[in-house]
Amino acid sequence: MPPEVSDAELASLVASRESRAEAVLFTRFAPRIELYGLKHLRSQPAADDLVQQVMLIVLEAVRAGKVEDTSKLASFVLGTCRNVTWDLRRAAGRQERVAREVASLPDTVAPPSLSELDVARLFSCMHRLPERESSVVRMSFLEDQTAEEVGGRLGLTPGNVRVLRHRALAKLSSCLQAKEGS
Amino acid sequence: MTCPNLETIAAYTLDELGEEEQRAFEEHYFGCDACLAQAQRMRRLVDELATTLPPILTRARRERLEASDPRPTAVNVQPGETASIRLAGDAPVGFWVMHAPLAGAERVDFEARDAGGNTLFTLSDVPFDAERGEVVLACQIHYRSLPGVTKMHASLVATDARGSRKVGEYLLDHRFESA
Repeated sequence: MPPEVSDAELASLVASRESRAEAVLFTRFAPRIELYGLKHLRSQPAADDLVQQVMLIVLEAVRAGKVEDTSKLASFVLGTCRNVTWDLRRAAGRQERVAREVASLPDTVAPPSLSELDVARLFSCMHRLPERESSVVRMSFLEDQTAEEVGGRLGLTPGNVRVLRHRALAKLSSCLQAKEGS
Repeated sequence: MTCPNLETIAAYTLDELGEEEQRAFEEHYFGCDACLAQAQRMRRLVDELATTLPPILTRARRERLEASDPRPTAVNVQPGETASIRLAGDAPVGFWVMHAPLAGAERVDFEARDAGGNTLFTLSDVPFDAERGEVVLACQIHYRSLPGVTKMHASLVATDARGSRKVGEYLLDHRFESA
């Protein structure tokens, strides 16, 4: 089965129990669900949990032919992500309250795990940013300051700081991508 | 929605996109492989920045680092002094505590030069502890791949109501031991 089959074809292959169809479905959607989870649940274990739960629901629905418009399978997966995230957040809120009541453990930070190559790349890309953008990146991400604090130091509005931050990240990402290839 | 620019993807990753734009981008990347890859890259970049050891540490970052295992080596250095720090597989991270008269300082700038006097990098308006008179510079074994840092000349310039003056020069010797 070619990996580029359409969502609708893939859904009907899963429904007819075609071997490998489920694996293709997983490969297609798991990274999307994971990214959604990292954004909305802010932790890798929670994102992994979301992938498992959403894939299970989606597979069951597709197998049972319960997805009405299979050409919109991606929307169905995203909708499921939104619902499950909502439930996970409520559960996490409960757990946090329990954890706070039980004990508060000191959190230690793992030493930086970047490889040598990554550090060199990141530094050289940071170096190419215009001074103001590089200061905004440093103060925001390495010195943990809010847009208001950074703005206060550089004489910018918080809105300006956010815009500069987006621009700087865009440049860094392109620079790193170019270096990956070289 | 067509593929958004990288600025929009950065805003999404930082949670700074409006509700509607956010939903639209999610609908889009659930169907677009190119944007999924860009958004994954942006996520990695933001995570890397959050865990990267910055050159100059705030007090909060220093305290977090001191609580990590193995505890990083700290080396105190006074103005005009030379000091060395050993970085190896069993001691991957360390930091310099550069002492300087910083009482009343409003801003501190940092410059690093190589043995030949060429500027390696400058950092303006860095975090400092005026009360303790300290600026904390982090280093890690990975820095061995950066050119010129083995014997590094560091200097601090403080600015207060009276103007700017150099408050300290330090020769920092990084001894990288291969694993």
